[in-house]
Amino acid sequence: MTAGLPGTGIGGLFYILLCVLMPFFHVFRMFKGDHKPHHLKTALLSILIAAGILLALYGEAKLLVWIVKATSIENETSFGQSVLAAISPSVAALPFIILFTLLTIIQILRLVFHRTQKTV
Amino acid sequence: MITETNTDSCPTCCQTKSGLTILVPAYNEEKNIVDTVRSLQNQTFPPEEIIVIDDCSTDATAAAARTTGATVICPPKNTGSKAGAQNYALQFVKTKYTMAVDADTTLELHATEIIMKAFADDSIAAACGLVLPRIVKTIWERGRYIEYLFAFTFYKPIQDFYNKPMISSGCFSVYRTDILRANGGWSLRTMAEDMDLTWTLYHAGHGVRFVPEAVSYPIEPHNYHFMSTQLRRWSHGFVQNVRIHWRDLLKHPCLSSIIAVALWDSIVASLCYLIIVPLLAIFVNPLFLLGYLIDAPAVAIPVLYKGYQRKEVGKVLMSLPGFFVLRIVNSIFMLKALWLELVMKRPLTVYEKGH
Repeated sequence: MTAGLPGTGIGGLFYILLCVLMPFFHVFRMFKGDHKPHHLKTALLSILIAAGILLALYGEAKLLVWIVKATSIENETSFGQSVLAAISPSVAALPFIILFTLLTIIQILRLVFHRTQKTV
Repeated sequence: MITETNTDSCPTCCQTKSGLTILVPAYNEEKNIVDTVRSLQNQTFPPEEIIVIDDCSTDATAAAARTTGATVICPPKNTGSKAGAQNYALQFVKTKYTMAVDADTTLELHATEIIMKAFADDSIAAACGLVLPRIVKTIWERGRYIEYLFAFTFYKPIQDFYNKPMISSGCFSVYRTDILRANGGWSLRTMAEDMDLTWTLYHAGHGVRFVPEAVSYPIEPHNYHFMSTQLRRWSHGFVQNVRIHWRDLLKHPCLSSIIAVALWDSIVASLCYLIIVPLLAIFVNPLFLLGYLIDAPAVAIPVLYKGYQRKEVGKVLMSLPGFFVLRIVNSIFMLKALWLELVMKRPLTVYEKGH
């Protein structure tokens, strides 16, 4: 979420994935002799924050499931069923699929327009 | 757009050594301008010159600014936007670096000293710092406080790691003057001139840095009227910039991904907050209203970390509800901007001052 723009969903996931890639980029830059001191600090801090976010979301999911089961609303209400369905692996994979589709489209557009520009 | 000056107060003293001129565009900022200029004068790395551009204010902005000893210039007529005022002043800059600071923004004591270090790297053409609201009292200021804490603690450092900060924030940024001029200064074609300039610099092959240790404190909109004006400008500005730059952005894999995700996220999130969640709550189960808070832990972690670092945990906890309110308001403006700009082809063209 950039200030003034709504959303943390796919955006949040995207930035967490960028955090996962940071160590690899850092090593790659070190081999190229292109690393800067602030990069390592940024990478470590961002990875820690991303890990904290994932942990908090995991905790939230566990808590929701516990509440739904403890109150026995999973069979009685659509909300209870939806909560349990939302954290099933197949549904949880949906944001990843959307994100990868979006990023793939960008790369395809990039290839198409780069090729167009080179041939013009 | 550069116009001729009608004043006898053109800046002349530009021969000292720091190499930095600070431009402060001001329109009816009588109450804030003195604090802003004093904060700039007190920097540990003081600028050679501070130029206040009084954009034909109807209050005593110019007189107040003159009491500080800053150079005050006035365009022949109101330029119509912050970008216009900054462009007008750019012709008077004789230093290697130009900083733009909003008239309602103060800087931490070492901010200029810290941010200027980014230019040790020759590839860097612009640098921006951390932005936090100076006053955090109303629900709007609280919402914006959380937005800034989140964006500047989590998103922007990651963008900087990949050498692609999405925006060099207009309220506090420094540029190499020659590159700024070579790229036409601040463009008037969009409502978000800072975003436009940042992306233009990337297309021209230059680098931009985010320096989180350099902190600035603008005054954010304190009521709905000012907030709506600012959000209208920002949301339209974002859509306008995507429309203008999308083809060039594709040359930058990381930047284009960042912007595509931001665009997607803002559209889908807006639809969820304004349509899907309410419909589910009405027709299926009211408990679906919890959907508005489902990502609260994801927001809270970076924000609480920064709050703890700044000894502001109480302020963060008090402000979190404001964030969820502001996010829904953001959604309304975002969807409206998309509809007007892309479907109705009615772009926002008049710059309205938000604060």
